[in-house]
Amino acid sequence: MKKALLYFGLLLLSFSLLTACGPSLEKSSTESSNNSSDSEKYFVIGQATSLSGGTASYGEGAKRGIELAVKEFNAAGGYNGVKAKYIAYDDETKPEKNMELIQRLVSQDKAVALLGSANSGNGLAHIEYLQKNKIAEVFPYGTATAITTKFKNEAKNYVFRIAPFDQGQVTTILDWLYKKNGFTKVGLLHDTSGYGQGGKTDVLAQLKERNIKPTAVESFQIGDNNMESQLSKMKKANIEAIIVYGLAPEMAQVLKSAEKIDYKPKFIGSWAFGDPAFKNIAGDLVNNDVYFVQSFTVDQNEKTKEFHNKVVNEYKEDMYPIATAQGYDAANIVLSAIKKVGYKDTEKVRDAIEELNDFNAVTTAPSKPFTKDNHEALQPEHMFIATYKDGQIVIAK
Amino acid sequence: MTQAILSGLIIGSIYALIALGYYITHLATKTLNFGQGDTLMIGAIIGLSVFSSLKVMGLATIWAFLITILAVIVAQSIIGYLIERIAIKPLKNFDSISWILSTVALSIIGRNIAEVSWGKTVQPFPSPFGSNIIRFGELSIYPHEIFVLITTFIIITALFLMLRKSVFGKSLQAVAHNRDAASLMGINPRLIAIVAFVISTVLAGIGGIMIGPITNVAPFLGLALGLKAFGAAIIGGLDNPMGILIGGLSIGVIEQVVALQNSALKDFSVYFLILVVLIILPQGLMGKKVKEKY
Repeated sequence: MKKALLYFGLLLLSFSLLTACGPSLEKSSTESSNNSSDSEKYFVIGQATSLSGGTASYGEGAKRGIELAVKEFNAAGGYNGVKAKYIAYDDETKPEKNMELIQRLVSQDKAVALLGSANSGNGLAHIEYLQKNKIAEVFPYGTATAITTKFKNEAKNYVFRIAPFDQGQVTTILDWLYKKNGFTKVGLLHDTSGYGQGGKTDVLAQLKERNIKPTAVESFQIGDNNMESQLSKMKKANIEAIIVYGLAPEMAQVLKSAEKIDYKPKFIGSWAFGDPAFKNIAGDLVNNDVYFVQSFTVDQNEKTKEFHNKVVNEYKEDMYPIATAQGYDAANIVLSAIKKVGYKDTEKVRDAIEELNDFNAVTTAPSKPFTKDNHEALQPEHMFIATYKDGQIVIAK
Repeated sequence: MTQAILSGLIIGSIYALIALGYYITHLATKTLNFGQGDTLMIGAIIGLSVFSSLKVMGLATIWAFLITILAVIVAQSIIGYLIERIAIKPLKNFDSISWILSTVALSIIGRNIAEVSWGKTVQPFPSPFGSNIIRFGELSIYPHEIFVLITTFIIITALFLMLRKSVFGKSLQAVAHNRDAASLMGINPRLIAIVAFVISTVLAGIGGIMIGPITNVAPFLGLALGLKAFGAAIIGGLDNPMGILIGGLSIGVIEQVVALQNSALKDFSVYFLILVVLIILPQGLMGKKVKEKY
């Protein structure tokens, strides 16, 4: 028995040694605060989001934008000298952990407002708790449409978003395909996860409203590595453009399979195509006519270029430009509201967010991002289609 | 259709390779490593780590790849040895079915450690043979896939010959047939068990290097592959390597051809086939019909 235990220890050690030599992209950091020390007076804005797991790049990207916004807010004197402290916890993309961390942020850390979680499912699971506790939350991602509409009929809805929501993204995609480019043969390829199925429902519903039938609808499973069969059928049907709804690893496999069967349609999808994980896996294939929804690209204007340079100066890279920009804007929305009404009354913070009318966003969000009935800062008119050029995300011409 | 069959044969040959690992341990010890899929994942992760590190160091691709294969074989041998010592040996009696739980437990531990130390992110595994597609009329294939097909058939043939012709192969079968009698003939059943697990784990590791460039690498890579490979062993017959090869190739081809008709039924078709075979031919297509005595 002792020997078995010894072997078990050895096995654990060898597993960890062998796997630890691999490249790891994820950080296990759980807390990130700005320059304010504990002895100083500060208020907390918090976040429970994916810093590891499938959506880690979204979490890390936005976290950097939020850190920048907090740093600038504090450098400008904070709120009457009281500085902001940003606490970010890693929910590992697990709903139960996310809920636990949200409760901790509210009850223990006394957060005055929160920034949303990367995973829509996690967001949907915890917003009721914040609604009950009257704490405002601004999502810089988490694009499920229901997040901002779940409490829209209540006297006060505490959930806001500055990210392209799913239905808005679909509208933008369909406008680009049918109005701008006049495609007639369009296919839909989606994964069978909640995200892909949600995308399918939105696409089919909006196509129905436009009296259009997709030429083909095909699906793939999470973890699938060969989509040749689905794509061969689409190739045979002469489909010119394919709407892809899935996540980075499988979307990269879609491009790989298309390349293999020598099929060159236009691929268009949600902002998931902009995920650095997708580019990392797909490599040069990203330059093969891939189009997707964005609210921010570095080449958009001088302001976006300047913001990009600021991010590069701070972090030596701009790993996920749109996530960082939306994180920056989301944090600035909260901090602008606090600057107006202080941080002591969370309900007032929520009201100030809704009433904000002089906001200066780095994304395409307007100066008055929200109204009582609209908690989406980015409407379809603020979304646009981008593409990859030499591996860089640029506005699609 | 031809393209779907070709793609099915490629992935199917990897299922067969992994499934042979089940065959060898089953032959020698009547136990299986139910974590075979995760053992493959560990092999793929080690392979990618070593290969990319050597490439960064500026080593030529071919040398980097050969050293990677060697490193994976060594590392997997150690892991195979440890799996036998921890999950199989302490159970004393092979007839007990506790090994199902112990091998599954080890595989979960391995997967979690890989997640913690390597991250959950999917990583691309660049093929040492490049990514230029070779086209023959309607058919297209990556050089890596040709490598997979050829290597799998060489490994399977070599294994087949070794088991049938060599002294070691005969010892393996002797232990399987009658442990006590084999022991009296000077064969060490414990050593045979260890070697069987080492071969099984090394096969999974090589499978990992072969499949990495096709599927990319992540800690959850092995789960579905291990299950489908087990399906290949069930369909072909757990005691017949030729049957396992046919089982693996059939699963690969069936899932691709079904996806051509309806992609949603791809996995369903495989597991449905496994169920049908289990009901009609529980010993598999080419397995020996043995009446179990209790």
